Amino acid sequence: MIYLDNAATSFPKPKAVAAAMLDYLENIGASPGRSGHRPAAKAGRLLFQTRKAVAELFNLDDPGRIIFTENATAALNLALFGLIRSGDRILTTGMEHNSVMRPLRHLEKLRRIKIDILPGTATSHYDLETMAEWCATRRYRLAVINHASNITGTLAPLPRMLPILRQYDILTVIDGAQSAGSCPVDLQVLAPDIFCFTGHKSLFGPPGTGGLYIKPGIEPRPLCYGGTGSRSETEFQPDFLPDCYESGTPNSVGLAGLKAGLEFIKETGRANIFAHEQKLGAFLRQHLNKIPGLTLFAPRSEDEGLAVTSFTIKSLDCAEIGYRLDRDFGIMTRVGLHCAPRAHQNIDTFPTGTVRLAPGFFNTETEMEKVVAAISKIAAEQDK
Amino acid sequence: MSKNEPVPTKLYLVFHSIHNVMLAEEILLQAGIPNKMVPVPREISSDCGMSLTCAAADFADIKTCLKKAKFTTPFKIYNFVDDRNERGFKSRASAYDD
Repeated sequence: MIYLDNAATSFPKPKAVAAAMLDYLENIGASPGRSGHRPAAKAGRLLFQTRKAVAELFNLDDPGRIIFTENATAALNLALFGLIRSGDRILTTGMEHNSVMRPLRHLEKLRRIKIDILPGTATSHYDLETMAEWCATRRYRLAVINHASNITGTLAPLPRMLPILRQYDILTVIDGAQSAGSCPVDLQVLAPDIFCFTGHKSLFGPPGTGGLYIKPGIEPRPLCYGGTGSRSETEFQPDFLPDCYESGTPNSVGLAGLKAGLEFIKETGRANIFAHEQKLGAFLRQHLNKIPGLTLFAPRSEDEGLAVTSFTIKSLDCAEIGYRLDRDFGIMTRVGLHCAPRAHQNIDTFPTGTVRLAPGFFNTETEMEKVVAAISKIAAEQDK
Repeated sequence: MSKNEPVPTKLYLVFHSIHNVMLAEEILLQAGIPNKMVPVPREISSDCGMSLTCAAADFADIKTCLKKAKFTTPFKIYNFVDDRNERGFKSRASAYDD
């Protein structure tokens, strides 16, 4: 099996991840921050250390600004529903995932917001002059930007976009679902108001983990109210982090796994993981580009994107390509619209979609050679 | 305190959230100040939270250490006295806002 669906979720996970989860279930088991017994304290320390590990990866001093949610979608919902007010004008891009677009479209109806979509090119790059002009002439309250596309892998130029947005006092929410983990994310330097991440892709955690960084001074309204283990004497939600945004029993077993994933990244070296993935992505793009009848969807240059790549083959249905890759060659991909209809409209592959290849750290160059050979074979047979 | 008042023996550090308890525990342990994580005494709060208990003699060191580590989230230090009389163990608490 050649697993190329790491943009959906990473597989396999480092061995230590499952071991850590089993260890929590068998040896700790307690809920953190509620009871006072030793297993509860152990669970509390586990949660604390996981928060620290996330903060360290993102180069943050205060782990208390990291909130855990069940995934990046929940984090984005908290950010968007928590900050956007009635009548606000919102800026977003043409490469957004439905976890941004669906909340925005609902807010359009619910709170009558206006949405401006900054178009990207077919290689999903943005015209920053247009963006600056829009920011100068329209009063945006908030901008939500996809850091890395889950279809083409293109990285939004945040170091250039964020200062422009800050200049006009526009709140910035970054969707880091595809970027956080292997791609360098320095939140001290980038300094967005909110950065959303998921635990089960490049952070190697299990599904059910994710979260967001909230900059000091930014106070989204909580989406979920309930027991936090703190201030039990009052029926009102605490107003301090992280408790304010973490009601209910945390996914301790998942976070134990996430912690192990983060430790793996630290031990292996984030830059090493990134370099390996980029090498695989570059190999794929270089060779796929040569296949007749194949259209590649990738950034202009290697350093502007991640290893995720999409392609289509003329006169072949994407679903059929994906099916054949799986059944005949044992290669797992994702076909279709990848929960990002907006992005597919932007790169002009709507509604048929693309075949997406998303290599990860545990894929090898030998596997990529097999993938290219398989796709070449499928492309060659299309006219028969 | 007057001559007849019992001398405090224990301190309880009480924080908003378990996150801050863990953070303070780590800071104090790294500074070599012994502490133990225990439930917040019911006299102080009905919270289902945890507190750090330390020796009263370490009061000044604790304050210095947390200040040095830029521990800015609010917490309270409670003074406990082990006060045994004929009815058994008795304790009083007074709060230091810090």
